[in-house]
Amino acid sequence: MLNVWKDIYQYREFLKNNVSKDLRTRYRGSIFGFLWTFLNPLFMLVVYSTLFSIIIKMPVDNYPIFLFCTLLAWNNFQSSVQSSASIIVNSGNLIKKVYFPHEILPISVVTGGLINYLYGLVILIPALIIFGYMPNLNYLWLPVIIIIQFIFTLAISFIVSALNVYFRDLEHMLNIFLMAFLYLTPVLYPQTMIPEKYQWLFNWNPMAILVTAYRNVFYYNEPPATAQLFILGFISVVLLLFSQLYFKKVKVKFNEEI
Amino acid sequence: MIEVKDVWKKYKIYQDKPVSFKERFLYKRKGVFQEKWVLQGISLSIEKGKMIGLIGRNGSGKSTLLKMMTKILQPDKGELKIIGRVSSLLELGAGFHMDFTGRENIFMNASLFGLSRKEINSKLQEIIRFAELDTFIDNPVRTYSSGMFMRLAFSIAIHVEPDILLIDEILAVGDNAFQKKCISKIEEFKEKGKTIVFVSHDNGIMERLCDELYWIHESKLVKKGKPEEVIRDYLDFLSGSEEQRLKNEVMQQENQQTSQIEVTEQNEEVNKKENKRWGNGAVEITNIAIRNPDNENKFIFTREQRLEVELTYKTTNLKVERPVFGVGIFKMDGTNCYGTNTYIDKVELEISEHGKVRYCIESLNLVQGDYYVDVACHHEDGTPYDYITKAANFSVHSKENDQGIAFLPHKWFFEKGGES
Repeated sequence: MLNVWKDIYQYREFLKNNVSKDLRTRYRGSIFGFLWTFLNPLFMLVVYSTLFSIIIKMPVDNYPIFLFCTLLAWNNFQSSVQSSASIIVNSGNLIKKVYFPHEILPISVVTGGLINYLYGLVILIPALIIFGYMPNLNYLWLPVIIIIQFIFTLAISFIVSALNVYFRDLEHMLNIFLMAFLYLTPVLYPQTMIPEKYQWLFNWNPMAILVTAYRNVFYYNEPPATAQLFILGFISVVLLLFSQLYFKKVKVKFNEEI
Repeated sequence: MIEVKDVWKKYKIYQDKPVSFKERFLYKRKGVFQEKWVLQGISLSIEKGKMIGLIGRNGSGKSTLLKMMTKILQPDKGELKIIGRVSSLLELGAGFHMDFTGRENIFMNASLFGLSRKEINSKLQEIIRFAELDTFIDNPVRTYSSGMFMRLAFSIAIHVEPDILLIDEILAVGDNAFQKKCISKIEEFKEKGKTIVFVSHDNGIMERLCDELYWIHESKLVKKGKPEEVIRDYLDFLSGSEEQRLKNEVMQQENQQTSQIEVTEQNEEVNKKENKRWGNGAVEITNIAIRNPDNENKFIFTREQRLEVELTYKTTNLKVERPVFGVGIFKMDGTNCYGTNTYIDKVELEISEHGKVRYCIESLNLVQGDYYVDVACHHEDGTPYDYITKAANFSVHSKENDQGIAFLPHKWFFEKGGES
């Protein structure tokens, strides 16, 4: 198992190039090009601000900001999982032709998602300041939360990307599943809105823990629920090791299955 | 160092592959597929610094074996041990991005071989120089000609400092000058003590460069050993199977001909139209056969074998004026190699109602290649009685790689010193 990580480290330059290729070619041919990386979250913010301040009134102060600080993190998770589903199948050309540790593919998807999220912060943090939520010491928790989300997302991506090679319906099932998962996670609403008897469900939802942590830091100016966060961190690492073993086991047949 | 131990590999060839939920679980279908063994019990060991070649017909499993050495494919049974960085010239330009410049693609592609940025930077200039791209290097790759593209890809692949180099049919890369450069680069690798595995259909180069050859036939290793010995056996085998194929072809043609006997007259007209055969028919050549020394009908000859062309003719008019029989040998591209007739050779000729003319070359010294034969019977002044072009084909196989038309007997001399 260590060998695989050593191999991945050996190919770190390829990982880097692959991520930057994805970021650079994502908006290829469009007029604004790379600017879309910032325009996307900005327009999202504008739409939500208009919608929720004029049409739908939520019982939350500054709802657009309340929503934006979690939605950005959720989008990072969702798009990473979704694109990793098809990454192996779509990279058939490369996999059939050259050797490289295939783990690089899901890793670069999730890394690309992370970098996009960091660009999103460039819009989020000024927006927070405009609405009067000043940066504070609790921001120091951000790297921890982001890293845990990265590990958790990567673990899911390993499984999803490998499984989709043998079972192509997964890609389409994921859309529905992720939509349901979004509503089961307090992204659009505060956790306090959940009826008492269903609260346990949210205590076991890893994304709920992460999303709440982001909101605590950005919106409530509070430290996250530390114990919960660290348990999630531990579980994510274990999950990552298992999913990576699964990936390693099935990847030898990728070449013939795609 | 490469160590291949009793490696087996099979492919599943799906006719209909179930990939969706409904098919796989509802119908419990596994799909219709055939299993095909592409490698059966291959063992070979290549010491560090050796250059070996793989020969065999298309589809014999050579490329599959190479792909296993690059770790793209895994064996079903057996074991491969490979020590050192492997670079392959199998799939040149994999992972190139068309919109990126040549320079960016160098970084992209070289990193795909596992190089760090520092290593790539130190190689950059050399890669660009070898690819002969100069100022084009900062243009997007999609603007490159296919030659430029391949040169760049080749240049990256050999500059990543591999310990093991796998080469598949490199001679398809670039023009002659670049090919020469490639070969001298390979020789340079050899001198540096790198391990090289080479697949090519150019037996001459294989024999010159390789220390040892492995002949793979129908997924099995048939023979290994000194290049010249393996190539000799391989060529013998090839001519055997080619002979069989040509015989089958001729048999088929003959079958067709017999079935068309009733429409001979029309046929003749067609023949005339296509200019395959012309003449006034005073003498008719009814059969042409090419024979070897054992009097068998043959299509493949080796250098210095005896070749005989036998013409069967008939005539209705015994008083045909001054008949001359002629035979001409041509290369497939129409180059005349040699042609003569009974008049040129001043041979007395007697003609009967039926008869045979035999034209015999005691020692065939044409160079390797495919040839066809024109035969004719005509008047001394050239008026054709019957002229058939491309009447028969034959091939010459030879281990030597000399060029041109025919072997001219020669010797080489060397002298030391002398006046300058």
